[in-house]
Amino acid sequence: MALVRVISSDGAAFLVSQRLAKRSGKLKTEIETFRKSSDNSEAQPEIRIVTIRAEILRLVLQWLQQHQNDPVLPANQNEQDGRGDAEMGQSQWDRDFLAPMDLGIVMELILAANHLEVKGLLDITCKLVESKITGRTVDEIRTAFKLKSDFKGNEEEQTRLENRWCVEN
Amino acid sequence: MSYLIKEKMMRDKSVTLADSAVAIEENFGEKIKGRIEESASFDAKKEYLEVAGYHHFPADNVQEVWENVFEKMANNDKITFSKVCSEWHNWVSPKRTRFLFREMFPTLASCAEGLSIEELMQCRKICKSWSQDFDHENQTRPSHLLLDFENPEATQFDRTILIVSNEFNNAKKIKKFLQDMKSHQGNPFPGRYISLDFYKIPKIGRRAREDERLQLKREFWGKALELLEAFGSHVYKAYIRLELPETTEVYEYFHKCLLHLPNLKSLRVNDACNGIPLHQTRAFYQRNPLPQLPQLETIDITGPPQVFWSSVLESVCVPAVVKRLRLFACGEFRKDAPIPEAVYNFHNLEAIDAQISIEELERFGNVLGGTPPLTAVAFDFRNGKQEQEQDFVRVFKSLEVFGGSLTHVKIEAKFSHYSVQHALEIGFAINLPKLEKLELHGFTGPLDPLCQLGTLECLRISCSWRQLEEWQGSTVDFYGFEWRMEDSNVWEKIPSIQKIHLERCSIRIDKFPCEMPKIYHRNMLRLSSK
Repeated sequence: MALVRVISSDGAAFLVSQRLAKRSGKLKTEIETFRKSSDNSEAQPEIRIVTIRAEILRLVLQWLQQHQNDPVLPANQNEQDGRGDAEMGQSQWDRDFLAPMDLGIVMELILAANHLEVKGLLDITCKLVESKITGRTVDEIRTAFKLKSDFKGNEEEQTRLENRWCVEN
Repeated sequence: MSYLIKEKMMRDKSVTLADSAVAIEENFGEKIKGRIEESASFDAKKEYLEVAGYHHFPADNVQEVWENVFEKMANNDKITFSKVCSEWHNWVSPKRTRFLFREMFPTLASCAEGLSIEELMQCRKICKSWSQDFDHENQTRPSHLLLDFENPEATQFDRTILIVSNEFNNAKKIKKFLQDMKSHQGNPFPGRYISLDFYKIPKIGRRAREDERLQLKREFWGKALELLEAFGSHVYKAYIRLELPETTEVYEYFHKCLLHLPNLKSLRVNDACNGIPLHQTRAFYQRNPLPQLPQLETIDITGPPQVFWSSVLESVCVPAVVKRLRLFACGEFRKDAPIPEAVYNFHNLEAIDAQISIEELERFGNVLGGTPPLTAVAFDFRNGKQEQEQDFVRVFKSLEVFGGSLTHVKIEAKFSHYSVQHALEIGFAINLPKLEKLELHGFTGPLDPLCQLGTLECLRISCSWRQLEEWQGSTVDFYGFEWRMEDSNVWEKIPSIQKIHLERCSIRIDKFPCEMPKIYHRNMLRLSSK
C-alpha cells in the first residue's frame, strides 16, 4: 500500500495511505507534485503542514478515515440539486465525533478543513458553529464561545445602533 | 552579545515584532530590538528569535509575561503567536474563540448558508475583537472594488462578498441617523459603504404633488450633505443617484458630496437628470470642476455620455490610480457614446465595462504610457442604432495586445456567421494565452474557433433560438445537445473547460434593455469534476 508521511506544525508525523490522503484536495495536489518532481516512483512523499498542529491534524485524518468510502462531494453540490452538503453528509458518527469538542477546537478544525480542502468536514464544522449562532441571543452566543463582553463605555450601544442601521436597509 | 529566546517563530508567518517589542518595553521599561533568524530547513524547535544587545532577559519563558505581550498584539499576530509552539498554544488556547474568529469568519460566512446577514452581523455585538474582525473583513475584501460583471453571481447582500451598506433614501431617515449617531465616536458605517438614492416619499395620504416631491428631494440632498460633513471621511464606497428635474442644482449637491468623501475608493454614480440640456451641464462643470479623489480605484458611471462622463472622469480621477471603470449610457444616449479621451490616460486599468467601437478598442491597445494591464473586459459593440455585424477575427485580434494579462472576456456583439466561418477557414487562432472565462452574447457559432483556447475554464453563451440554429455544421456537437450537454463532444474539443453556461433568449437581444428577454438557463459542469 502506497503511504505518505504527513507532518504537523509541531513535528508529529502521521503515516497514512495515499488513497486516504488524496481525499484532501491539498494533500492530493502535494502528492501529485511530489510524484512529478521525484525520480524514484517508489519514494514515500513527505508533506509538512506548517499551519496545523498534531491534535487537529489527527482529528482531520480520523474524520477522513471514517469517510474514506463516501463519494467525494463536488465543490458546488448545492448548485446541482439544492441540498446542503452538511445535510447530505452528516451522520450519527459525525455528531458523536463533534459532540465532545470545545468550540475552540471546532474553529481550528474549520481552518484545517479549509486549508486541506476537505469539504465534508468543513461543512459539518461550519454547520455546528452556525447552530451556536442561529436564533441565539448575544449572551447565549457569548456563553457558547466562552467569551466576555469587553466593550467599554457606550461602545456596545454604538455597535447595536450601527447594526440596526445596516439591517434596517 | 545577544540573548536567545528559544523556538518561537513560524516559517511562513512571522509575528510582528513591533507589537511584542513595544509590549515588552512597556512591561520592563527597556528597549529591545528583535530580528528573526530563520533556519533554511524549518524545524520549530530550531528556530530562534534573536534579541540583540541584552545579556539577560529574566522573563523569557514566564507565561504571564507572554500572555501580557499576547494581549497587546493585533489579532493577526495573536493567530501567529498561537501557532508558534504547543507551549504557547496551550497558554492562549482558552482565548482562541476570540482571536480565531478573524481567520475563521470568511470561511464561515461562505459555508454556513443557514446564517442570515442579520445573524452574521450579530457577531459584531459579541465582543470588540469580533466586531473589529467582522468590519475589517467587510471593508477590505478586494472583491468589493470589482465591477458587477467580474462578480456576476454576487448581489449587494451576498454573504460571500460580505458587503453591508447604509442606505439613505429620504431626509427623515438621514435625520434620524444623525440623531442616533450624535455622540458616535469614529466610523458609524460597518461596511464603509453608503447609498444616497432618494426614492422613498413619506406617506401623506395622497399622491405627492410635483412641487412637494421637489421640496422633498431638496431636503434629502441638504440632509445628505449634513451626513457627509459629519461622517463622509469614513466612507470607502458610495452609490449616488442624482435626480432633480430640469435644473443643475443637483450637480451642486453632487459637487459638495464629493468634497466630503475624500477617502472614496469606489464610486458608483447614476445621473438620472435627463431633462437638463447638455450645454447647461457642460457650463456647470466648466465653472465648477469636481474635486479630485486621490484614492479612487473603481468608478462606475451611468448617465449622459457626452458631458457627464467626461466631467467626472477628467476631474475626479487620478489616471494612474484608476483600476476599474464602467461606463453605461441608457436609452437614446446609447446612439452616441464615445469613450471619453480621459480613459486613454488610464494606463493602469485592470477592468473595463463599456460600449465600444472596434476602432476605439484598437486605439485603446496603443495608448500613450503603455498598454493597460487589463485582466477583465466587458465590451458591448452594440450602439443602439442599427446593429452592425462585427468581424470575429478583427475583434479578437484587437484583444491580443492585452493577452499577457487578460483572463476574462465578455463580448456583446453580433458576429456574422460568415465571419466566424471565415475565421475557421483561414485557421485563425485566438491568441489569449491566459483566458479562463469567455462570455459571448449574441454569438452565432460555430464553436470551433474557441477550441484552441487551452486555458479556458468557463464558457458562457447567450443567444436567441434563431442564432443557435446557425451553429449547425460545427465539428463541436453543441446544437441539439443543450439539454444533455454531458453527451456533447465539447468537453473533448476544449479539454480545459470545466463549466458551460448557456442562456437562450426568446426574443432578439438587440431589444434589450427596453424589453426584458425571457431567458432559459442551462449550467453544466464537467462530469469528471463531480
